[in-house]
Amino acid sequence: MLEFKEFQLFINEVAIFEPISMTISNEIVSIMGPSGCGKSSLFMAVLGGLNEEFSYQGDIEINGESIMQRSTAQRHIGMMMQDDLLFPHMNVMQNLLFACPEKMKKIEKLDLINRYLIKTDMYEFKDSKVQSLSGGQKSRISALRAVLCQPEIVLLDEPFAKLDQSLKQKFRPWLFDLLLEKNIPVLMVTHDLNDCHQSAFYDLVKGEFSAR
Amino acid sequence: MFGLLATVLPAFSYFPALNFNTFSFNAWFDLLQHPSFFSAFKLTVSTGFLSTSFSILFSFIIFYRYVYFKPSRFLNKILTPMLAIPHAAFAIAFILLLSPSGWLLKIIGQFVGWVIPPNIVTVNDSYALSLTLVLILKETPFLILMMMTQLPNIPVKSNRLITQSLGYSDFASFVYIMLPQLLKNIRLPIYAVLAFSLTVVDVAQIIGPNAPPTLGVLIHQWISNSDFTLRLQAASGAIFLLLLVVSFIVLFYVLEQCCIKLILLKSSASKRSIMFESVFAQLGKIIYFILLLSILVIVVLILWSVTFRWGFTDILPNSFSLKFWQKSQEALLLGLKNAFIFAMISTVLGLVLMVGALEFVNSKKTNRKYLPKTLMYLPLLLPQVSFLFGFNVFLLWFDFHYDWVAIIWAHSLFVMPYLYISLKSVFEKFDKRYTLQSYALNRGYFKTLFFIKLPMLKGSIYTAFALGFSVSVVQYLPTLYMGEGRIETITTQMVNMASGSDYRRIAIFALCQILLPLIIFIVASRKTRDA
Repeated sequence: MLEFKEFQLFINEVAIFEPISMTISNEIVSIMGPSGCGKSSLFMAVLGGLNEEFSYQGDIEINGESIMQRSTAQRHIGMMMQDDLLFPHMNVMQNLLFACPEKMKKIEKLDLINRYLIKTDMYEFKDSKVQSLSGGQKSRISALRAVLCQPEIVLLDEPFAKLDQSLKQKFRPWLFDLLLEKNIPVLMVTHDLNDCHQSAFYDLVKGEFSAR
Repeated sequence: MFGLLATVLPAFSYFPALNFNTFSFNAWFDLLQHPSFFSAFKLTVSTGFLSTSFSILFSFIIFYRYVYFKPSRFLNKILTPMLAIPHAAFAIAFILLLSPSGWLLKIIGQFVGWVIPPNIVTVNDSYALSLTLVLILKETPFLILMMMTQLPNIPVKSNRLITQSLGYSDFASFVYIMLPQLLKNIRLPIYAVLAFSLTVVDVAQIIGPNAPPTLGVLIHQWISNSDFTLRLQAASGAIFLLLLVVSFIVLFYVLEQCCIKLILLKSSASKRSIMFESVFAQLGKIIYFILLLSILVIVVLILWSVTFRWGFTDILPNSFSLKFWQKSQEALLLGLKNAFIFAMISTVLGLVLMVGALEFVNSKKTNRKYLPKTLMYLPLLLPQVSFLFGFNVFLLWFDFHYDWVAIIWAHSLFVMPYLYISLKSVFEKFDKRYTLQSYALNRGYFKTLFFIKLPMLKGSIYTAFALGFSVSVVQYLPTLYMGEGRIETITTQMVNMASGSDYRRIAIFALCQILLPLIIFIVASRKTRDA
């Protein structure tokens, strides 16, 4: 469960948005707002990647524990951004192996990855260089990487922004199904109404949920 | 290439100008049987391998600390001034600092009670350790700069966030993600450092061992010898050195591939942290040591240049004088004037050629969208002594005695790779919409180039000019060989007087060798800021 408790961000002591209070259980919640309203800063705050000029009030908790004093590596977050950011020196399999938890045995990792790859029609590309994949294929591998690390929550930052319309329509339900199957909270930052999974989204400017 | 060809022929004893008209392996037998050859070979190999390996290691550690782990602008601020100090001047100042009668040992002597210089070997040591150290100190900042030029191609911040979100520590993410990409991207600069360390002559002459010297110096001594028959042996030595450089480039390529394979293998095990992480982060502070030495280098040169008397037991000179500046004035002005003229002409020539080449490959007239990188780097990868010797022979065959032209050509050859490094991405990333807008306004190609594109890029062009200028000023062998020893620049004067001249005179020439490019760097950075 991801919980915002009266959480508010400031840049150089100027508030970026009104305090947020919301709880995200095993569902996909979209945060919307125009450019510059603080969507990406909020994303970074959850991820733990804020620059020094930012400060905050309130708290963010994952499963009842505050994460604000934890480093990014200790927050157990799967993430996917609009750029796939797959590591170019690794092939598909190596990228996915890199994401698997350390404690898993190699054979278990390979088994899990192979199952995911078969399920997503990507098995034949397991030894391919990531540069040779199409945009949609890269997005699928990037999404698999986000869930393979067994995260406690998943963050999505405009995950469909770089895909064309037809690819978006195919990839969107695919990604939502994959994430819902994992039964974990998902926070998605987007500026496109069509990307919202549920009938309501959180409007960062108004500070409340609005209907689509 | 002509230069190399003209080295290959004498290497097989074909040198008509000296009445050697039949091919044979005699020059190779003479080379291999020379009493100093194997010792020089061992020194060259150890110096080249150790200095390159440690430069790579330190540059990665410093890059990790100040670019990846705790990004700061500190590195950007200090790299250019550090790189502006020429290798030879640095080596001379290093002697003034660390020789048994050097400044640092004078200071230590105050505490341990030395009254005469200690009987220890700190420079010109027979294992070439002081030479290796100087090369490490000079090449590390160069490799860091080369890594920084790759930053636009590698999304550092996002890579770091992704790997951290997957639970990896900073150092593990650097090793698994950044290191393989950086290694691949700075392959050519690493080879340039390797070739330079294996073949350098001027720095090795100043701070390297004397008996035997490194292979580059030994070959240079044979080329400069009044016994012309030694030139055949020198030619075979030059070809041997070339083969050595090629072998080492292959070796470093294999090592790089093994390193990447090992990292990939380890990364598949998904280990979230690596041992001794904090040690590596702390080791990054070694940059302060390099910075401190670079500052001390300037200070000791300034002090010695105005010293009249400086006893061993004194921390500072006993008396100051400008006498040696006055005595050196005539030679100094000549050396500076020549260096300035060669640098100006060769850099402008190099700039014109490089802008033309970059424009050509970025135009629609060719399918090639980039200049072959290896070709551009070739002058930095080939041993200077190998192809400059051959080119000298080549000019001799054709009875070409326009030394100034030959020097400018040779300088341009070494200036161009650096201009390429500076300007390549600037030209490639130039927003083509500006030129299209100009064409749409009915302006032709040249008007667009000279009134739109070049003025927009002038900041980068000033910086590239300053870099090219400084590269030209420090050229030793190209000036010496092409000018046949008759034309002197501040660099040739300084290197020639390094062995045996008065410390005060050497310091003055070394200081001037630093100041000339530094002034151009300052002017260029002001112009860049205005642009």
